[in-house]
Amino acid sequence: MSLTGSSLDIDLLGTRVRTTVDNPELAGHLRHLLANVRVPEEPPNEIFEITGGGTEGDWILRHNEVGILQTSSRASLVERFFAALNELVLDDFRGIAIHAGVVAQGRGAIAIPGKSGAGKSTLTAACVAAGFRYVSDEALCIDRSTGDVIPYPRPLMLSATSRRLLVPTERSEGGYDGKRPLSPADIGGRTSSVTLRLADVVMAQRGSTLNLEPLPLSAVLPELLERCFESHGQRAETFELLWAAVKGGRAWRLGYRDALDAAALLRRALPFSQPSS
Amino acid sequence: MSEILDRPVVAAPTALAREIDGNFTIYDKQNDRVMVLNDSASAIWRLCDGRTGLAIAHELAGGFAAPPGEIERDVATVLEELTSSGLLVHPAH
Repeated sequence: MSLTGSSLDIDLLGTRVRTTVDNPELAGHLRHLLANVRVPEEPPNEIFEITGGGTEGDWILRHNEVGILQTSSRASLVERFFAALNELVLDDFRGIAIHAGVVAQGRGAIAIPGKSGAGKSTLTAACVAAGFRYVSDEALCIDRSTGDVIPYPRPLMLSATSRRLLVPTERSEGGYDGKRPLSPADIGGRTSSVTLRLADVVMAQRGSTLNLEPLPLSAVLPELLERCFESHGQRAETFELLWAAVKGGRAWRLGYRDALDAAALLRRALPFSQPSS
Repeated sequence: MSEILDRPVVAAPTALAREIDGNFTIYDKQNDRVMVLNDSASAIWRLCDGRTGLAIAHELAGGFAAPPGEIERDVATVLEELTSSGLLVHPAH
């Protein structure tokens, strides 16, 4: 990320975004949250603009000069900004994107596929706090030509409950009960900065006894395909690429109730794997 | 004996099969769905190269302790299921 004045430039999955913020404090907050995101090599072609926060009024969020939110709540504005950014970036991405939390150890990516609301952000954050490197709390992104896992390190988007679980000093902000962003550094974690290959797929089931057991790899392919974002009419090719991505890896079923316990179990029990390129 | 055993069988052009852990996972392009075959269905699928169901049963009989009649029934059941799912087709003799 680069910050010039109140302008933040980032490259997420190849989408180059400039965000201008006229409030210095919010600019600093976004700078902290996006500290591990790449700087674009070419000028950004998507522009977000955030204004307001002064004494007299609302916050306004615009994308490419089109207003998308006006609100008196800064927390609401920040949540909507990251939601709009996420939507834009994943819609533009031409690789394979699968709803999943992703962490890494070494060059091996560990994917935890799950639909929205399944608790994957909380489990991902717990894994980062337990020592895994952060890759994404939203999507497993795979390059169609190389099969590499591409980091998508947007900030972790956590509910108030999850934040209280992971950040002992966390306090509620003005009663806001939506999701709020968190940097991996805020929970003592780090972002992966190396090229990754898919090493493990963890099928997590919240609400059952803490347990980790191996699964046949064939069991995870339907789940991964099911959790794919729109793949632009390339489903058969996506199936083949997913097969190629998982066939050298491992699959697991994780039962858990407490995300911190689950992360500790994964950290303890998941054999370290360095996948071949 | 089931009629399906007399007919040659091949994978449908819309079935994209990939082997993983020794078993086949098949993407059905026509219906946009994935089917994971178990051990015995995978062994049968591997032999669906234009031979008849009966030839497949005979081939498998060498590797299983079960009586030939039982193997033929199992092969017929799997072929019928995969055919009705649209993953196998029966070219003319």
